[in-house]
This record gives sequence, C-alpha cells and structure tokens, in this order.
Amino acid sequence: MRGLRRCLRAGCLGGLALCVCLPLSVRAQDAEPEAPEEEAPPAPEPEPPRGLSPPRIVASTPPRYPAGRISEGLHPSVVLIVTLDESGGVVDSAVEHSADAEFDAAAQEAVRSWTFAPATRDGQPIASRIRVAVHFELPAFDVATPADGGTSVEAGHPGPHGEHSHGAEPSPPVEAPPPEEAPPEPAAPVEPAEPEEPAEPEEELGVTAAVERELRDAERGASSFDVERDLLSIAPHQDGADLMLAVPGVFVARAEGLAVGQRIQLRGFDADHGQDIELSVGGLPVNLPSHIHGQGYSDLGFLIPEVVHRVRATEGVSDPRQGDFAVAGSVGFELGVDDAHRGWRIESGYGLYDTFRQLVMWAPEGERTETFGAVQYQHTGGFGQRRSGDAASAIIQVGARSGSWRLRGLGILYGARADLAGVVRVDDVEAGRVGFYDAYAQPTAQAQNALSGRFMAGFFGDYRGRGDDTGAFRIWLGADTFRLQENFTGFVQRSRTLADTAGRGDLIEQRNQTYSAGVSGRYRTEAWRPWDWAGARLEVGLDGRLDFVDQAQNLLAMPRNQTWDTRVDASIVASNVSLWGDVEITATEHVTLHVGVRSALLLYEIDDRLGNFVPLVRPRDGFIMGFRRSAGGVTVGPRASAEVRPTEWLKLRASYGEGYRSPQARTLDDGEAAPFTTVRSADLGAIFEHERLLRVAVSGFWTELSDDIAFEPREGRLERIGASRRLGAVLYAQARPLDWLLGSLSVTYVDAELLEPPPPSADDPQPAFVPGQNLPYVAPVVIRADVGVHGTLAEDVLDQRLTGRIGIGYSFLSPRPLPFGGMADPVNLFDASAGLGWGPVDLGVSFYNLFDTRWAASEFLFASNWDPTGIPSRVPARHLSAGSPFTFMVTLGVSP
Amino acid sequence: MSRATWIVGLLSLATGCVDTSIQATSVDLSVAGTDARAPFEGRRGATITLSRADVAFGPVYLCAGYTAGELCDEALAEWRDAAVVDALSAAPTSLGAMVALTGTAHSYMFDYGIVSLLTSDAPLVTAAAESLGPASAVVEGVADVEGQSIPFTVRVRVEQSADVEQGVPVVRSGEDDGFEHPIAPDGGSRLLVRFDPRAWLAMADFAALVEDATCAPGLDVACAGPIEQRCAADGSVAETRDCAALGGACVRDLGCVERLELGSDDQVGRALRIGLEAGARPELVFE
Repeated sequence: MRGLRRCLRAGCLGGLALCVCLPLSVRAQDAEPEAPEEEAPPAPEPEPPRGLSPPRIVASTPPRYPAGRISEGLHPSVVLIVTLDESGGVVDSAVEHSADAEFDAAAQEAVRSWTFAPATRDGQPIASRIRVAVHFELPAFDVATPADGGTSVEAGHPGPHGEHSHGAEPSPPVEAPPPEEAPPEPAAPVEPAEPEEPAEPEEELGVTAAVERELRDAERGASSFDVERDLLSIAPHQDGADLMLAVPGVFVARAEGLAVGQRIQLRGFDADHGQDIELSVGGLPVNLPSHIHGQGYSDLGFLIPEVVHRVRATEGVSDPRQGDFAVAGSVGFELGVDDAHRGWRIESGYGLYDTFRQLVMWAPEGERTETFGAVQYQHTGGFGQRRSGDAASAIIQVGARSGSWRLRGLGILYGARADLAGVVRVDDVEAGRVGFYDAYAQPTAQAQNALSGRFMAGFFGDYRGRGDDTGAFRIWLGADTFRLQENFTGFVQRSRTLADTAGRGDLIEQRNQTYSAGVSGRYRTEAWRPWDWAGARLEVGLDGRLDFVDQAQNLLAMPRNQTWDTRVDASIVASNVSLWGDVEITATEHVTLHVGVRSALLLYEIDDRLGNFVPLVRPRDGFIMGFRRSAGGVTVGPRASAEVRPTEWLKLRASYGEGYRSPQARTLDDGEAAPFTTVRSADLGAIFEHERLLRVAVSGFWTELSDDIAFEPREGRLERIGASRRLGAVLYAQARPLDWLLGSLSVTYVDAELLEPPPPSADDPQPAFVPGQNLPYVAPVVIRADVGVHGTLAEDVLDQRLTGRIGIGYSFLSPRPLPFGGMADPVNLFDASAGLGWGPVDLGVSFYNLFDTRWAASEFLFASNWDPTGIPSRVPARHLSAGSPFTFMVTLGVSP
Repeated sequence: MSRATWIVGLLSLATGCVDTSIQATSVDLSVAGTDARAPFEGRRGATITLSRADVAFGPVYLCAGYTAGELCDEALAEWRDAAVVDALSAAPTSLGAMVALTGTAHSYMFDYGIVSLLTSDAPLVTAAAESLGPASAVVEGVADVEGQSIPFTVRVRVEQSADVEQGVPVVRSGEDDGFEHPIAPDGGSRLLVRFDPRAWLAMADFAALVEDATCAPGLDVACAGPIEQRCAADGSVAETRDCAALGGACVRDLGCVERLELGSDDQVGRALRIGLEAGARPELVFE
C-alpha cells in the first residue's frame, strides 16, 4: 500500500472533491523552465561514472492543473529535486525552480505518485536524487484513434534516460506542449557518488529525467478500454493475439493451428477471423478485404507479445477514425519496449508436445520506446493429431524525431505452415470412433494444412505545430499470401463441373493473395477559444487504400490433390477512400462533446472467371464462362460522443455511431451500388478512476447490424444470415492496490438476437436460422480475470537482486447457441505463470489450461458425413475443434 | 423468490434469453405391415394369396423442403439403418429413434436396404438387404389365375440407378405428395411407416405367365392350361404332363414349375420394384 500511503500523505484522497480534474499534461524535462524560441539540438549526453547507473522514471501521472488558474492560460514548469530511496521510492521533493505555490504543490503531489527505478552502483540499488521538471499544460482537445495504435506525438526532447511514461493512463486527455515550449536541453552532467561509499539520500546524482509524454488520443466511447503492458503480461500468452483476452468482452481461440487466424469474439459478435473488428498493429491495418476465408480476415500470428506496449479497444462505433470492419469495435496494438525491458533479450522456451519458442529482441537503451527489433520462431508438435506447425515472425520499428515531426518506420514479416486436424463430430467422439484431439483417419482429413505469409511496412509521421495543432500521416504497404486445405463436411460434396463425379472428399482448397497499399493523413486545428470556459477544435482526415486480390477455391481429391471441382477463381481490385471530420467542443472543465461524420467511397473491379457457369449443363458451350464487372458505393455515418466529468474521479460518457463493413466483392453484381453492412451502435457508461489505483467502468450498449454473417461449413467461409441486434452491458475493473499486486476483471453480458434471417427457399427449405433466435456462436456471458503479484524476494543473492512473479488468468464463456438450435458447452480456462528473475537471467514457467479442461476452440452444427462406406448422415450435428489441453512451457531468458 | 427461481433465472441469463429456435429432438420410428394373408384380387383376374412379404426398409430421412433428394442435403430427421419388415404383420414394430430437429417436414426419402453412396459406384447393401438375398424385398405366395395356382417367390433389388443421382435415396416424395408434418420437441413425435404388400403386386401380371400356347417351331415348351407341352423341333408336341398333378403350375416358357422364382428383370419383379418405388410406397403416418 505504499503508493496509497503516499497518496494519503499527500492528501490527495481527502482533497479529491477539491481537485479539479482537467486534461493536463506532464513532462519532466530539463531543469530550465524557460523555453527558447527555437528548438536547440540536444547536447551530447555526459557519460556517467563507470558502474553508476542513474535513476529512471518508470511511470508517471500528470499533475493536476490548479482549477482556479485555468483562465490565466499559463504553461508553467516546476523543477523539483526528488530524493529516492534504494527501492526507487520517493522520500522527499524540494522545489528548485518555482512557478508559484499552487503549481509547486501540484507538481510535488504528482511526483509522489510516480514510479522510479533506483539508481545503481555496480548493479546495486542506491539512494539518489534526481532533478525533475514538471510541466503544466492547459486542457487539451484530443481525438481518439482507437484502431490507429502507435500514433502519438512527442512532447519534449527525450532525455538521456527519459522514457515514455504511461502511468497516467487511464487519465484525462493529455496534451503535450509544442516543441518551442519544451526545448531540449543538455542534461546536467552526472555527478558520481563516492564510489567506495554508499550513496546517501542527500547525494544528488545530477541526473535530469526527461519524461516524454505521448500524445495519447483520448478515450471517447463509453466502452473504450486501454490495457497497459503490466496488465497484459500477468497471465501467460501462447501468442500475441492472446493479449486481447485482457480486453473486456473478448475471447480468442486458435482453432485452426499456427497458420490460420484466430477466432475472436467481442461483446456479442462472433468476429470469426476478425471480420467485425477493425484490427491494427502499430498503426498498420490488419484486416484483409474480400479475403477468400472471410471478409476482413485477420491473422495476428505475427504478433510478438513482448513488443506489445498497450492494447486499446474501442467497443462499438463512436469515433470518425474508425473505418471498415469497425462493427463490433476496434482493437489497436501499440508496439514498444519499455525502459525496464530494453537492451538485448534472448529467450528460449520448451514445453509439452515438443513446443519450442525462440525470441531474440533488441531494444537499444537510450532510444525511444518504439525503437526495437524482435524475431520469433515457434514450433509445436501439436497436442493431438495433425497439429504440428512452424511459424516465424520479425518486427522492426524505429522512431526518430525531426523538428516538429516524430517519425516512425515499422516493418513486419511473417510466415507459418501448420497441419490441421479440422473438426470432429461430437457423436463420433462419444462413440469412440475418433478421439477428441484426433483427426479423422481418411486421407482427405489427413491432408488438412495451411500456409500463410505476410509482409507489412509503414512509415508514420506525427506532427505538432507551434500551437496545439497536430497532424499525422501514414503510408503503408502490405502483401499477404494464404493457402488452406480443410475439410469440414467429410464426404457430402458433388462436383459442379464434372457431372458424374462426387464423394471424393470435401477437402476445400482456398488460396488468396492480397497486395495492398494505403495512405492516410489528418490535421487537427488549434483550439478556438471564444470564451475562457469553452473552446472548439476541428479535425479532418483522409484514409485510402488499394487492394489487389487474387483468390481461388477448389475441391481436392486425395492422394495427389487432383482438383475435382472448381468453386472460385477471381481477381478483385478494391479501393477505399474515406474522409472524416470531427468537431470537439469543450464547455467548462466538465463537458466535452464530439460531433463528427465519416464517409467512404468503395470501388470494386471483379474478374470472376467462373461467372455465368451453370452446373451440369451439357454441352459445355451452352454457356460462356467469365463475368467481369465493377461496382461501387458510398456510405456516410455520423459519430458523436459526450463526456461529462462531474468530479475528478467520475466520468459519464455516451456515444453513438454508424459504421460499416465493406462487402465481399464477389457477391456484387455489375453496376450494383455496393451494399454496405451498416452498424448502429450506442453506448452509455460511467468510469470511476483513482489514478492508477483503481479504475472501474460500467457501460451498457446497443448494436444493430443490417446484415450479419456466419460461418458456412460447406464452403468453409462466411455467408450472410440477415440483420441482428445486440443489447448488453460490460463491467470492467483494473486495480493496482499494492505495489506488488495488480489485477483486472471484466464481465460482459449480451443478448444477441437474429432479426431477419433469409427466408426458406427451394435451395434452402430449412434455413439454419429463424427470426428471433439467439445469434449462433455468440456466448452471452464472457468473463475474464487476471491477477498478478510480483516483487523482490531478496535484495542480494550472489550480488544480484532476486525477484519473483506469479500470474493467473481465467476465462469463462457461457454456452453458445449454435445453428439448428444446438448449444455449445461452456468454457472455463485457467492459465498461470510463475517466474524468477536474478540479475540478467529470468526463468519462467507457463501453464495453459491448468485443470486440463476439455474444451472446444470452435464448435459448429452442420451436416457432415465422415463415414464414406456407411449410410450417410444428413441431419446437422455438433462438430468441434479441440482446444489445447493442459500444457506448460519452461522459459529461460537472458538480458545481457 | 425461491432459490430455484433465482438459479433458473441466472442460468437463463448465462445462456442468453432462451429462444424458440430449432431444437434437437427425436422421432420414434416404427413400422407395420398389413394383415394381407387373405386372398386378394390382382391384375387380370388373378387371385393372390401372400405367405411372405419381407422388405428391407431404411435408411429414411425427413426433409424440410417440399422436394427431397439433392435438395435434402441437410435433413430434419434421419434413421441411418435398415431393418427387415414383415409386411404381412399389422402389429407395429419399433425401429428405434430417429435423430431429428424440430421443424416441419415437407418431404421424405428412403431406401429399401440398398443405399447409393456418393463415395462409391457400388451401392451399400445393408445387412437387412443381405439377409433377403441380397434383395430389397421378398414376396412369396400363390397366384391363382386361369385355373392354375402358381406358387411364386419374387425377389427384387430397389436401388438408385441414375448416375447423376448417385448418393440420393431411391424413394423421394415430391411437392404433390402433400406431406407436411411438424416434428415436436422433446421426442414428442412418432412416425409409423405402414406397408401394404397387396399394393406392391397391383401391376403384376400373373395371367401373362400362364397364357395358353401351342407348340410351334422354335418353341421348347408351351402350356395349355396346367398341361405342359414339350415341343419337338418341327413344332409338334413331343410330350405332355399335368403340372397340377405334380403340385405345380405350367408357366410360359418354363413349363412345370413347383415354385416360380422371379427376379427384378421379370415383369412381376419389375412391377414389384416399381410398386415399391412409386405406386405402392408405404404410408407415413405421424402421431
């Protein structure tokens, strides 16, 4: 409770009612508070004495701008000399450069809540002093980019030991000062303490800390959540996508092996491989339009968990920057390596089922958080039949600053190939005809596998003007290849091209290659303040992308993969140009309104080489194959939100937005006004927060979708199932009650209803869905809990500190409705991890599915026949793809 | 509010609001024949007395669409087995439960023990059909026609023959059949399949088997009533005998036979096969 005690000492709890909660920024910078007109180049950093390492700021919260001083429009800085003990705790702070008493007090109060890494001499922590500058900014007007992770603007010069601080999050919107207000200054030379004597608190190392403050886009929707690195890393993760488990309402499972995208659920949406979630990594869009395996297909297999700095989720639609696929919401992964983990890291892990993981990561010390390189290789023998696979990924990101611009380059390369077990019928499992973790023995089942590869590269720039205007641009390229052989239905298919051919096994081959390029930019004006108590800002933006897609789907016959039917052979050129505008209005320090609109023009050119084909018609020249066509459409959707802050610790938010999902291009007719799937989403919620100690968010939501889609096993892809509606609520809590204890809990409930499924037809006389039924595959209740403890076990073990950590993650999915009235079993999963750190060495063990629960990573209900020599089944039956049983991995990491 | 009410309420929340969509259920399947051991009139004045009418029945599927067949690749109910049905026994015999979903069945399709598979050019002969010969149906009896009593056994295979319909059951109802039966939840439906073997032989022309003939060049044997005539090469009668006296009948082209064995290629066999396939399908009675 040290943090709390500090806070109590500072009287911040008692003074909550008096504190005015305004969006402020914090930046500790160089000692000089006065800003020169022009930015000066940073001076060379003096070398600290050998063996002496200065203290570092690990996390910081912004100071509170004194409520009564806002109208003065000041941007003062207070320079403090902060005394730290051997553990990095703040013992005392003294004002070296005063702004005035109110600002001084606010700065000292803020610094008391900061987290420091202690100075060390020869690796041993020592007491020290550090000079810290705390900068005050007037309220800012930020616009969120929920899926645009990685976009941020530097607040000041990164000092020699400066580091991003995210301790303020979740926090009021923060704004960084323009460069001219925050000039880089040479750091004061490091003054070594007497090498032979332990450093005393009164010794000042003379290190100047510089806290670089990201320009964090403000959370806007009532259901917007930031999950920071410390919470993300509590429970073990088998891959980067698993980090999303910590996001409220999300469940992630990898049912199809290492080379196929994860199945993601988000508050009432079975987003399958991501068609309903706008996903981005480091600002690069992940969703692939018109993908053969599903619209908006996303595979996050390339993500290396160690380089994910933060996950930001905006559930629902509330922000004009949310674009295509933001139906259930947007999830952005921000990449970076914090100061505590910089340097080299080489980590090897080996576990059950011949699972191996090798990580090599380098984050140069002294460089920006976003600068790092990481390479990962994974291999698994698989926990059951046909589940082996290999995957490798590399992520390199470099950040730099040039004048008013902060620039960033990001490159991602990924490749994977894995065998697939496919699905098994539950009745076959129960009858012992096939094992729960097995694959069917038929050659068509034993031939299931997948291969994927992806390359993405982006160049980003964040601009901060001389006023508080900001801007950003993004240029990116991408290439993706995907090939899948998967059999869901066994032996029920007939050839449409070979009239007398049937029953060769429903091994679907899907191939998809996408080449993409995109550009986006935005500009936000300075605040226009007609009155002291009110102001407004305007943001405009443009987002465009071009995708070249080549795709095919066939049926393959074993043993030599002969093509015995051809289902899809098409090329698509898709372009998407979007414009948005957003006005932010603040009225007093209590109210912020956003009103915006986003419009998109989508154009498609389709070369459907199997178009016009009529099955079973003879002679073949009775029709002429091929159907080239073009289509396009425009969508416009409003976005609005309001935030009211009646007290410092309470925010009330409401939001409404209309978003869209682009169509699968092959479904469009010539000249058709592209039908967009539109979503209307409204959220209402309240957020209680007390700095980093506790944050509780409660929200209710309503979402209506014009045309939902669901998995169609016969074709192995998504098909339309009609309009749907979701109504639900989310409870989310983050707590860091003690220095060594942290945790989070989320409970999501949703009633998801299908409103207008396709009516019965001659082709489909008994549709799988009826009006009013619960949406298939959607779990009404999703619960996630993470609890972690960490701390120092011994200060000196063979001249090194010994630390320990334990983390537990729990996921619950209530029974999920399936098509044809089926119901999937609930899911209860516990994961746990433990580790010891000794100097540069870290030994950890991760347990997955701790209680060895049998669970289905995916479950379906459809007709299949897996007995080619027996009487075929035609009634839809439950099928599942097994989730991982209990497994563990031992990891040894070295940070030389 | 009782604890149980709370628990039910919480469970309902945890599984979402319970909806009334399609549910898994079952249909009790039973079969019955018709007490048709009494003589009945057949085609062209024949009187037929049946002593055996066994048919292999199954698998059977109920479909949501009005036309079964290829359009019933997802069925509402199925019984994936075959059994020998004594079609002369009016007492219902349970075959077990059909796996089913709730909904309204508008058509049905089934096989007579010989199943066409998508995966093989050769049909699957079920154990039930195997026990009959293999055959789909075996009918035994006596046909009294033109003053003769013809003991007969008819053994036919009823199987899918159209290549383009490989994998599709041979008997399929259509829209004109007016088949419409809801399938109740919780196993509340019963389906009785009732066979009437008299109808199977409605088109069988036993009279043609005993049409009188006289010896002529090229004929080996001719029948004049129950009298068998063995023909000489010049068309004269070489030998005669009274089949009735021998306990049999004189059948065209065969002469005296103690029991007439007929197959799928004979007219009676074809009539039986067609009757089973189309004209004399069993009645599906929902209860």
